[in-house]
Amino acid sequence: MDDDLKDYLAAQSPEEKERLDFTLSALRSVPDQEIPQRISFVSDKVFEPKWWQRFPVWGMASAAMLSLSIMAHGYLNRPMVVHQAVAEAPAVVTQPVVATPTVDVSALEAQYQQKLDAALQKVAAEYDRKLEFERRAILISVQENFDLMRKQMSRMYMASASMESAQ
Amino acid sequence: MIFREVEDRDLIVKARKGNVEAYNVLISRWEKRVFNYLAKLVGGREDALDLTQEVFLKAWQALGKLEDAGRFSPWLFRIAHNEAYSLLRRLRPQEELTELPVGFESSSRLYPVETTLAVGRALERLTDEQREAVILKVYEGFKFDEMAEILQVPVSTIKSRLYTALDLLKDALAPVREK
Repeated sequence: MDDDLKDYLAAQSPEEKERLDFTLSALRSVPDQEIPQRISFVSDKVFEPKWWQRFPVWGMASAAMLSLSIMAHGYLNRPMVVHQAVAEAPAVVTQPVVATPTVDVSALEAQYQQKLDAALQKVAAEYDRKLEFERRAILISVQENFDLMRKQMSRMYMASASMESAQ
Repeated sequence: MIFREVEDRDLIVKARKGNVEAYNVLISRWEKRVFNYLAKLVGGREDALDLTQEVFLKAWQALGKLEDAGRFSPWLFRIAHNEAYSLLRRLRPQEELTELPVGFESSSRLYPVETTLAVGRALERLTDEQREAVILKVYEGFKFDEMAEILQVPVSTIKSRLYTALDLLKDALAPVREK
């Protein structure tokens, strides 16, 4: 039994409690009715989720692949520091060799990281925008379909009512 | 019950994304309860069925507005309550909604028909607010706070309606008890 009702019954005198118990039993003896017709909505194209909604992981995976490829590209094409330029220079060269300044690797990494972040943000923003657009389109379609369905139902009801009144 | 709520929550999330099949599963779980609530409140099975369909249609349209998926049942019954009263006002615009037909059909062979009829008659003597309090508590098993959410009245008012109704029913069903 429901706790709220138990509390209420507990506060009654034994006689009243017995009468209330009977009342509740009598009320509960009325069985539930079976619904005469099951209710269900018909699926429609507009209700079906888009392929990217069914596989949300794909979006994440492609973003991860893109970021990995950008990082790999940045790593493989990074500027190489040349230390052997002086040693490999031909002996006949009489002009002083100017050593190539050492490249700051950490600065370059930071630069690539910034570029990578910017690219990822752009991709994510584009993805979000597309998602939002699709969502709104679905909502609008659903609304329109239901409006149409309601109008059709109203027409059917009216037609049915007029037929009944005609009979 | 907890698992059921979790599953309902999951179905609601899917339905919100436009998954009709998920919503159909949700309907299949709640349609009988909503139908019986409406049948007891408005009377005829036909009206109750029409209203049940309307309730689920409106629920589908407003599913995005449901803030807490864990409060689905009070939210759904709030819609059902509104639909029932809207119908009753349409059917009886001039009358006070105090004597409503009560949808008890004595189709069951498990219980004495006399008891079923007596209960139907006893419920008819209640006001619509008292009757609804009894239906929501005794038949649908809602907690007081959920009933307050459905009926949009304070818990104290609901308790008052329910206890008064139970007192009246107790007296009305006394002759059946004595038999």
